[in-house]
Amino acid sequence: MPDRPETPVAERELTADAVAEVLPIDAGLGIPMAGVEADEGIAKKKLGVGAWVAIAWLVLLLLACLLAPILPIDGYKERVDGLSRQQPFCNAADCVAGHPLGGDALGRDMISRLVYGARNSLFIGIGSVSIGIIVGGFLGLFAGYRRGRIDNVIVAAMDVMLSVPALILALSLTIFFEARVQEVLNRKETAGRVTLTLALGIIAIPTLARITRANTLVWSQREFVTAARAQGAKDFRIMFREVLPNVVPSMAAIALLAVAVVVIAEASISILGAGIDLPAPTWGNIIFEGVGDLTSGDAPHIVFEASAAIFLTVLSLNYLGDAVRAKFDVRESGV
Amino acid sequence: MNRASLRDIPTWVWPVATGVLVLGLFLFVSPIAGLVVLGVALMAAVVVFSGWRRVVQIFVVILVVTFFASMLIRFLPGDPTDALIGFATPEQKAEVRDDLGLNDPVYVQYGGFLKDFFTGETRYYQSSGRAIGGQKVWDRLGTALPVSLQLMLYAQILALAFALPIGILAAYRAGTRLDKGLNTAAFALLSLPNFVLAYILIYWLAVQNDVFPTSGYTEFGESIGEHFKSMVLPSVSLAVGQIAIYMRLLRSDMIQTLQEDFITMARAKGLSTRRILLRHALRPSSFSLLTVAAINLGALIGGAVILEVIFQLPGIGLLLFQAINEQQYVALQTFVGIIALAYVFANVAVDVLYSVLDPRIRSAR
Amino acid sequence: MSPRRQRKSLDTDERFPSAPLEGALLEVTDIKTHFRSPRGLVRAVDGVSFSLERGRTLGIVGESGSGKTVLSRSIMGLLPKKNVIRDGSIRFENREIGNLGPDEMRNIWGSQMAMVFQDPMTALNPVMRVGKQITESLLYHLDISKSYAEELALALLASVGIPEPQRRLREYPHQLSGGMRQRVMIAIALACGPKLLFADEPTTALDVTVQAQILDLLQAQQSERFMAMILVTHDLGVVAGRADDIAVMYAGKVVEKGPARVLFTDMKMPYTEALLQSIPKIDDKSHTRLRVIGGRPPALINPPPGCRFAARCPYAQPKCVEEEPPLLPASTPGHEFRCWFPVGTPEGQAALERNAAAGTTAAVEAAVAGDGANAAAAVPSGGSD
Repeated sequence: MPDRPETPVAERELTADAVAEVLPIDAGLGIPMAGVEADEGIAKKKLGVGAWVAIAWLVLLLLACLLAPILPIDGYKERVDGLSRQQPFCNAADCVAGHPLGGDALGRDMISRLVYGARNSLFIGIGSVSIGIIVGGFLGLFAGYRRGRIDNVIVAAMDVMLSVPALILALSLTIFFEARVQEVLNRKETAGRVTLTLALGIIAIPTLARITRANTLVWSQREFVTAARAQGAKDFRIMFREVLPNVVPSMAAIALLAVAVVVIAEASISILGAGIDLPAPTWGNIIFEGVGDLTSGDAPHIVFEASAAIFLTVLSLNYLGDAVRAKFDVRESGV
Repeated sequence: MNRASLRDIPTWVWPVATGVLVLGLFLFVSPIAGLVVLGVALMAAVVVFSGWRRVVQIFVVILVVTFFASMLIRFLPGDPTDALIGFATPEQKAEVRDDLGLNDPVYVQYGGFLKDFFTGETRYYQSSGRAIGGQKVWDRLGTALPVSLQLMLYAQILALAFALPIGILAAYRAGTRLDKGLNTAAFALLSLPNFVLAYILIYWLAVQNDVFPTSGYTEFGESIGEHFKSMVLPSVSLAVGQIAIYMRLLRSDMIQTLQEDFITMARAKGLSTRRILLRHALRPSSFSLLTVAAINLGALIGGAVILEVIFQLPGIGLLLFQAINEQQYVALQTFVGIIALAYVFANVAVDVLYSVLDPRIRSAR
Repeated sequence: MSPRRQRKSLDTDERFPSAPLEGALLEVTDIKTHFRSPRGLVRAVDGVSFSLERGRTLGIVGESGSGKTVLSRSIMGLLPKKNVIRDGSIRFENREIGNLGPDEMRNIWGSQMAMVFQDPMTALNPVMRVGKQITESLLYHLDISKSYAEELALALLASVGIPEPQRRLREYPHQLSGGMRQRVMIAIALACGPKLLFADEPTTALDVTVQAQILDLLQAQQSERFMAMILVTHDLGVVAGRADDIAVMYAGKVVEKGPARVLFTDMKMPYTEALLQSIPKIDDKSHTRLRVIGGRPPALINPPPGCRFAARCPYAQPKCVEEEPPLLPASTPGHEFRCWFPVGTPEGQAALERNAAAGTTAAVEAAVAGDGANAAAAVPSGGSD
């Protein structure tokens, strides 16, 4: 069907639409015409005040942990005369000065107990989450990217591990590892920490694997992955160069939340008496030792100070994890 | 009764009737009976909503899970009998090893485990040098199970009773100062570990003011007042964290639902706000909440170990803890099996609940 | 029992509720609805007036973003409270309702005014049975028993043309087809016998074949109940032959308004003309290019001075860019339009010729002048072929 023959404008019927056809009204040229909407920019989400407070606390904590040996506080094993069960901020005549947080049942300074406790608790927390993310992350990345039988096997294995309640598994693994780790390491004190780190790390693996897998699934389906594959890139290369960098930001948020969970888990295990051996402190250990003084009413501050430390740390981690997640939101990928 | 009249019974009657039956059996006959009926009812619901294929699937999962539970004992390094009955003679140990099926091929051991599990024959092992004996696991479980279940039930009821109205309120007033305040409070509460709260409550209400006992458990049958007194602190400690989580879930789902067209339509019908919130918005918004609640129920069957230890409640958690400490691996296997089963059932319950809540899923199967 | 008793209860046997039969049912005067947004004040509805009598149909036509949906929701009062500024007067049955709170509006919703929404899949509650969604409205507004409500619901479903209504009562929305869902929504809207029905794009989500059925249904129900109806749509074809009066909206304002026949035969506003031109005609030769209105939808934030349509109008003159035309009456009573150089007038024709000769319109000039760097790219050579 031939097109309408071109006729000069003046000869064509001067109808509005005929005129409109020749006038440069179409704004597809990118010129903002009068009365036409301009583009809007996407507002970047900034970290709020709360997030910075959380960061401040965590930084403070980390500094205290790292600098502990050179800080002007007592050793965690040192017992000070007369400090036993001293209340915090004690002003009476028979109080030992220079111990604002009081003393525990054996006369040790609470501040040093808490700081060295932080060292151990955070070592375990960060250590086990690292294990979980590295191993679990690998497994999840693999499963999510490769799909097929590998995926099924990994998912099944993770599900089985998940169907045993975490605390039970943790306690069992702790007992399982205890003897062996001590053989290898020979130092009793580090042995405790390492055991717990390993045990909690193993427990963290299935959950972190699942989350990584879910994230990987979302990203693997994006077109840039198909494009990379079409260019002949090998699987490993795609996994690590294309998919991983996109998965990492959301995993960062998860990592923060995971550390919070592990800190609580370690505390729970210690309260049950299966934590690292005394006198090495963890926050959970301190609570364990202090329970008696709580129920008797003599020195409740021991339990409360350690609890406060746990609470503040978990709160900061949770808050930060949430803020990071909000910033890098991958639409709830069926986690 | 012909088909038509069966369908005329309002839908809410079935779960309520089942619930009453189970509860009655549980409290007055035996907890095991109650649980069995519950299991059967759940399976029936699965058949109604999801068909027979799903039931087969579930049984397969149960098999796999119990299989792994039974294999735990083989994974231990060395000879398990050394741990179980360290001071027995070698012959006795050999006998026990045989009993446990450790010398048999895997499937025979599994079969043996299943048989013992369901007939209640798995036991704690003790040796007195002369004879091997020990209490049956199920006996101890029989007394421990109700305690854990009560704790779980009270905590969940408390949690839902608070989370539902607060969540709805926060969603309805989203963005206001009230909502922001509630959100902050919820966030703080869910960062509070339940044992920390437990200690605070113990100190404040039990030590300083003698309102509740610091620990211990009184049975329902013995004294209702004392029973509840002994359960208040543990239930509250457990519930508070849950309230925060549930409230947030409900709030976020409901905020989305309230933006849907059918809510505007309901307003255009002239219905009251209360009716819209409760009858129109609540049901489609409860998915996340119910999923997590059901999973929690399953998880808590294992007993809130730490709270049971702190408050000395003789539930499954405490049993588990003791079994681990005493290295009673056989009993441990049974516990793991039970807990895993409970988890499976909780997942099934979630599926059924989805079908009940969202009729679109029903026909999709 | 409940406060419902005190509400004016409709005797359900009465098809024609007792209300003054003379005078306009609905009188809207200069209503404005502005939304506060981070980028500024969005003037979604910027001064609209009309009146509607009982039993008459008003068609409101406009593109997406013209403000027609916001208009219908403003009149009904269904907008959110936050960040919304409302102005102007809405009188229903000679009573001012524009300033009523939701509690008082609830007396009106459903029983006096009702709305049929655009997408029945999202507007019906997916987890509630169809029958329940109908009876709920009935039970809430009327003083009847549950079984009677169910009978009524059955009758309603039948009257909107749903086969096997008994079965449908117990079904869920997702089990029905699109057309049936829309019928259900109409049934819900009509349940309590409202005097005014808003049909907000009632056929947009439906197949073309079903569209005509639904529109016929609406028309039939309207005449049977002597209801006033406001038909909101972007499709002129929908209102042709079904509306008594038509109001064309653009950028939040009414740009032309009048009896339907007059609008189609003697339109004055170039936008109306362009809309009509864009309807494909059955006797066009095949492969005839569809005529579109060039340009993009108007800005509702910080609107420019002058006529809002100028940027896309082939008649645009310098006066159009500087000064906004007021709504002026035309020769036929009831016909109003908003244009400096209307269609079919000597001024309008002259404007058209001037633009054709110059190869540009005043609006394009203004835009180019404001953005001199791109002047060269602005004007393509020859036609847009």
